[in-house]
Amino acid sequence: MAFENETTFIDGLKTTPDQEAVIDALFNDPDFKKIWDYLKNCQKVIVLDIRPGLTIDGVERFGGYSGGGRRGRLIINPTKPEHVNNPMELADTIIHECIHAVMDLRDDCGYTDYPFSRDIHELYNDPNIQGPPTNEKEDADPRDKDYLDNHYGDGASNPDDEYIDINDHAQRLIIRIIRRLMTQTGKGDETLTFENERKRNPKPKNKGCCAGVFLFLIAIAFVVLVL
Amino acid sequence: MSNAAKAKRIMEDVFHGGQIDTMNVNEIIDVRDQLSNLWSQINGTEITVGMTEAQVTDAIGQPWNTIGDVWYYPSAFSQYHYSIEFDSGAVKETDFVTLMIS
Repeated sequence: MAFENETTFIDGLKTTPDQEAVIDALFNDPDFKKIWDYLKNCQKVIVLDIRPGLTIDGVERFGGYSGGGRRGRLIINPTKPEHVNNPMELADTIIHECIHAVMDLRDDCGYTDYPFSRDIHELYNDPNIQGPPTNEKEDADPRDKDYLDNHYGDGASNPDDEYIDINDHAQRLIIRIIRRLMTQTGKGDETLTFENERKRNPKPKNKGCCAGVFLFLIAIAFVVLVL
Repeated sequence: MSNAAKAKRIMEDVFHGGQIDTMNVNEIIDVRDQLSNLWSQINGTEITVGMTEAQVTDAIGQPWNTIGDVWYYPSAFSQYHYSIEFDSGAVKETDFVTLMIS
């Protein structure tokens, strides 16, 4: 068993009835189960930590993951207002931190039953980043700025100053799971990850409309000329 | 060379110099333990198991942040932190960790 406090942790995530419904669905989701089982079956220990009101640098945070050491530590703040008001945001944060955990355990536990495609990266291990990796926008290497804007986007709890620390492929995995949970439970709403995806990939202006109108006018002119 | 400089040299060579790409798991674990041990002696300050919170604060100052019983101090690399875990007010373990906050 690679988790410390698993039962206490899962119970601690359920601070409202809607959170309870979403968490139950999350832990039965096929994609999330692959992630959770990979972590659970790895010999490296992950301490699961519920921290209501988690505050770092004066900002209340969604959660976090501490890795690279002897044990991992996965931290969730279930009472952050965004988590209470939208239980899908809580599921989003849990998946996000689990992505960090999988990356942390990859060297210890290898690629057997590895739950991700190879294009999922976290900011600190992304081979496409050229300068020293950092999620602080003002410290990012100028060579990386476009890449970080296009493939990462804003951090959740401090979007003005920080980049989010998992890439677009990881964010799309979260979106896929959240969409399924929303359909299953009828609870909650789209999360900041959806908003981030839309900001990174704004819908193109509807060129089809204008081209269609133009063609229609040409057709009318043609008909008028013929008649 | 101070222990802080040794730790920084290891970080530069192994992580930012790219050695990690060709290291096996045991070698990576060895580097991690070297860093952790160096941390316990940074600049000649011994942080040892059993020290009280007050003794740690006297030795190396207030932590940058705390999460529960774990105190975090910044390192030369923004994503890495020195961590001290306490159990009932006494040092249980020191480590050198990444800390990713959402």
